[in-house]
Amino acid sequence: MISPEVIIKLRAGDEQSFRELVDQYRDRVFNTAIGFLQNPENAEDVTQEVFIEIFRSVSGFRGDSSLSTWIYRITVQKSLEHIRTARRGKRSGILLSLFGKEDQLNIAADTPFYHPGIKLENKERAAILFKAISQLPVNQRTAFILHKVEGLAQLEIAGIMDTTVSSVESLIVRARRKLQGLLSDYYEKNER
Amino acid sequence: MKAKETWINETINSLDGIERATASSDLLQKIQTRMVPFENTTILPRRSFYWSVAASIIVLIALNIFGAIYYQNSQSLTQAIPVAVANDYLSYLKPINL
Repeated sequence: MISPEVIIKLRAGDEQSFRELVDQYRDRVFNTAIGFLQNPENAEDVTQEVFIEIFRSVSGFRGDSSLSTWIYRITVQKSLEHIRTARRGKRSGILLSLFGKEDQLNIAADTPFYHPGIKLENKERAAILFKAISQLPVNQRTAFILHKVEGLAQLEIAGIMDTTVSSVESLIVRARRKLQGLLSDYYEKNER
Repeated sequence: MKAKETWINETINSLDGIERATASSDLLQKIQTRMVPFENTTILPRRSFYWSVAASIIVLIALNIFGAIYYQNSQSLTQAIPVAVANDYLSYLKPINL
């Protein structure tokens, strides 16, 4: 837990406090980002961007929400931003390929993603699930990832998403229902 | 049917017991490396950049239009000068002939 004194020092640009903050939140930020991006390199890139953003904007942190909520909010925003940028890049890929620069596109959407924290016996199934998660609408995806991948309580997710606990509950239920449909289609095509 | 439902449920529950993925050990160093240029550079927001490009294009188009109008006017002036000179010349000649 980061103390209020550390936040004050952070606002003053204290390097030691920043180091303490990175140490405490690095894995939470990285794990959340990897849940969205499903690529370790991109997740690390976003993790770096998140901490740079924290350092630059901590002076504007008023403490209306907890520091943890604020950091998770930045992580979600940066991850979604990264996905949007990658999609825009993919769309312009047709143009790039005309000029023989398709190697510049580094989007691994079709490659299976194996989360490093999944039990070995669940690796393959989790990879299929992650592919389905990436097809969820943004709000459902955010609630599901924060709950299932990062293990946050619905109350905390409500704070991050700036909504009510019942809305988060509903989003997770809808996400689960949608995933069941997507997995059913997958099963029909591949597993039967 | 039952096999399918079991498979779906097991797949959805495959995240149970997931452990947090860990960031690389040199993360802080990488952040600090990326932060150094920020301290000495003013970053132009992307929106401002696009506005600057749009403004430059508008200025360029406006300059071209003004240039074209100016060129057209100067052309009609240079074409009008010989006629005026000829008229003047003839106007001087007229009294002599009379």
